[in-house]
Amino acid sequence: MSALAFYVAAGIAVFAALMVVLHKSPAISAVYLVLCFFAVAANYVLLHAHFIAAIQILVYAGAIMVLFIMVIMLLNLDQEERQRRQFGLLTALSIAAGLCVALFLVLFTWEPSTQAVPKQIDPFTFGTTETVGKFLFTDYLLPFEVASVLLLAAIVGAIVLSRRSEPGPGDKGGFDA
Amino acid sequence: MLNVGLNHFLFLAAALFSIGVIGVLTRRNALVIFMCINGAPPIFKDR
Repeated sequence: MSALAFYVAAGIAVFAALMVVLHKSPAISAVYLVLCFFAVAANYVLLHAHFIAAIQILVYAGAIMVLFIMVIMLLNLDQEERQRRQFGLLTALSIAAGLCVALFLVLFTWEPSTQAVPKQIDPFTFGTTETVGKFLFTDYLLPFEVASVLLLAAIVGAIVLSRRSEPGPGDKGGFDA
Repeated sequence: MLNVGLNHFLFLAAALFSIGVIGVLTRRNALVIFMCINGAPPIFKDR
């Protein structure tokens, strides 16, 4: 039962991801991306990470997709103009395969973190909001704070980049390229 | 029925990551590139 659910969810996720990449219209790509997010959320449920699954649907399928669809509507991106591609499909495939192999080598050879985690897992409270919050503010405090500083820097950078340039005396003005 | 272990999820994560990388490298539209970036990394929270 669990295996069947996994294969169905994984198949939907891979199919939807392929359609996001291959479809011509950005709007259709966005809709397939929603499908992909839901399939990934189903996989989180299969991993007993219910809180993460709920957050995945709320944040990604909700907030980020609204952002994408608003940008598509505002910029009127119906069809992608046919330009010369930066990389051929074969080059992209080989780069992706190489990155994937490198990532797996790192994951499988980096033992210490994989050994440290399973000791603390309690099957009854695993994946609940309380447990996730406790881990976030105890064991994983440093990555959490690093992520928040990174997000703050991104917000400040977005404001600086989108600021209207006001030409001052002897100033070329702003960050316009 | 075959039991689903951690490796199955890792292979799924690798497949989605690779598809995202291919999308970033082949598409010209900046917004679609952002969509590819969004689809790929969250699955590595599995780990």
